[in-house]
Amino acid sequence: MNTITRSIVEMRGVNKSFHGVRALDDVDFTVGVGEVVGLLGDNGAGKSTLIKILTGFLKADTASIRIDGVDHQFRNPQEARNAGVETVYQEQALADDLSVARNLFLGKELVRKVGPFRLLDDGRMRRESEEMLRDLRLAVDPDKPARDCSGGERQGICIARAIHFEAKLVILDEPTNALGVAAVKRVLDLIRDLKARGIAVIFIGHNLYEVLEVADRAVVMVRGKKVVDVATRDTSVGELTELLMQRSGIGG
Amino acid sequence: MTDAKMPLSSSAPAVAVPTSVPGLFQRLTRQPSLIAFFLLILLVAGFALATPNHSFATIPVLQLFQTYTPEIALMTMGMSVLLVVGEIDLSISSVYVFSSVIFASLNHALGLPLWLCFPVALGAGLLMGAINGLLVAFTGVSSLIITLGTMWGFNAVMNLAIGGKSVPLADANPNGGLQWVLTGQVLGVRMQLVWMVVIAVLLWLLLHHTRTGNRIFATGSNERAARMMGVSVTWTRVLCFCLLALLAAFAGVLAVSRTNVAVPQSGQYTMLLALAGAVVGGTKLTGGSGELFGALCGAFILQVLSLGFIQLGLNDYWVTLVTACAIILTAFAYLRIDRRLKR
Repeated sequence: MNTITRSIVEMRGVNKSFHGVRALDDVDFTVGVGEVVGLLGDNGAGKSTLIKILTGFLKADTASIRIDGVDHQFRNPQEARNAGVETVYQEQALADDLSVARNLFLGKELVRKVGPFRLLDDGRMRRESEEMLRDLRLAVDPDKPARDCSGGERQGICIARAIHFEAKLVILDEPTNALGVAAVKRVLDLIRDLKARGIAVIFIGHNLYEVLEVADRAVVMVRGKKVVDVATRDTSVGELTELLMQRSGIGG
Repeated sequence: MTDAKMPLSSSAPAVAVPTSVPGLFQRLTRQPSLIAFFLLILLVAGFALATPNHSFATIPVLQLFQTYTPEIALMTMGMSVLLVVGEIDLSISSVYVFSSVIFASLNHALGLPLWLCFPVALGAGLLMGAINGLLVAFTGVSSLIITLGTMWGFNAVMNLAIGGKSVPLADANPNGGLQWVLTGQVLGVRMQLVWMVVIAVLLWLLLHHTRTGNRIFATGSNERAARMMGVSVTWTRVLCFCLLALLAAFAGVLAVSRTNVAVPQSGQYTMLLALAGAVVGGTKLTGGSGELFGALCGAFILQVLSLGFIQLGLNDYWVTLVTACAIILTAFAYLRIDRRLKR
């Protein structure tokens, strides 16, 4: 069923061992353009290893990785970012001492020429930040330090940054962890926002209800293998739970 | 009953209601440099009142500040930048004295003109900073240890190369040429004070209004995030080491220009003063925050404390003891304010 949709991510035959222990066993993983994929699995199931390979933090033993139809072997996160793969880590993605606007433009700061100097254009960064945040219906003051932002706001800021710098794929690593009910709803809305803009999302999570609510497809990993890859409209929480239990050898 | 309850509950609304007093408190605590500035004014006023015949507030005493403080202030500011990026440099007293000795020796022994000795001495400082930075970046050993090593190392190399003797300038001319540009006087203002102000403004522009400055704060605040956003944290760090060493070398040259002689045994306390000044000025050792203006005030605070107590007739050891207590107390105070804010 995925043959006609173009893929933004196409990982084939991904293998990775750590000191003889098989972390990933011949995993195929694809994400279509503008598709939201929920990646599920227990700790140690291999989902974070898979994502680290995709984002350039780790190198696979064998793998073929295509991003938007182009072959890639990322050597570092920067190369992955340049290819349009943006990862959002809740706790680690913002520099707390910098303002929200300075964070949004970190590494790609706007400057203007003043005499012999190239000085930061804080006015423009603030205006553009306001726009970026308003687009996502986030009421965050761009001048406030990132330290003062809530967990949900931090997710929003990272997502705003991904949208602004034209990411093709956003990876959200357990974005709803440690968030309150309202903030979880906001994050799920943000994921729909990304989808509406044609940006693909990999949503790594534990909560089946959340994943099924926003994802087009659910992928479940158990002990380094992909055991479930199913369109969410063809399944339910009950069925998925059952599948999970069976394949992981817990249930009958 | 209600009267008795009032004080108990008053702390809660004080946070929520935006009255002017908590507002001012918030602003103050957000900007430790303002606290340092008020502390400085308080100390100056205090000593002016306390000294016999208010001798602290007389021109000759105030003259001492513009003569001596700029050298320390350059290094407190440089140290503050390095602390922002999350590193520390213990070797700057060695950089300071080595550069001053190079400046004097090139003139004394080789007869090079001073305007040529000057860039060479600064270059030597820069090189020492680069050595510190590159060693930290590529060994992964903490800067505390690396610079503890280079502190001894630079000093040993200096003594091997030049020996322990003081080196007088051959072409000493305090009122002309390069020496006038560095430490002369215009309309009663010392040139080193002018340099300090110019450099402070340039550093402020660098730190708060350039890409490099933004990346210095980002690297010190959250290295991982900075790296993910494509910031070269290694280069940013090395740059900060170089900057501080360059300022230390400049301070060393200023000292020679002021006294016409380089003394290899001088400057042992410069590193401690630079570090203490930065801390008193509100720079945290944990990286990510710090202010140049605070560091500038910190340098003056230390100098005011020492000159003030001397004016009061206290013996030098007492001065040192009081300064020691002041450093620890201010650092403690900032920590408390910080915790209060984070709660």
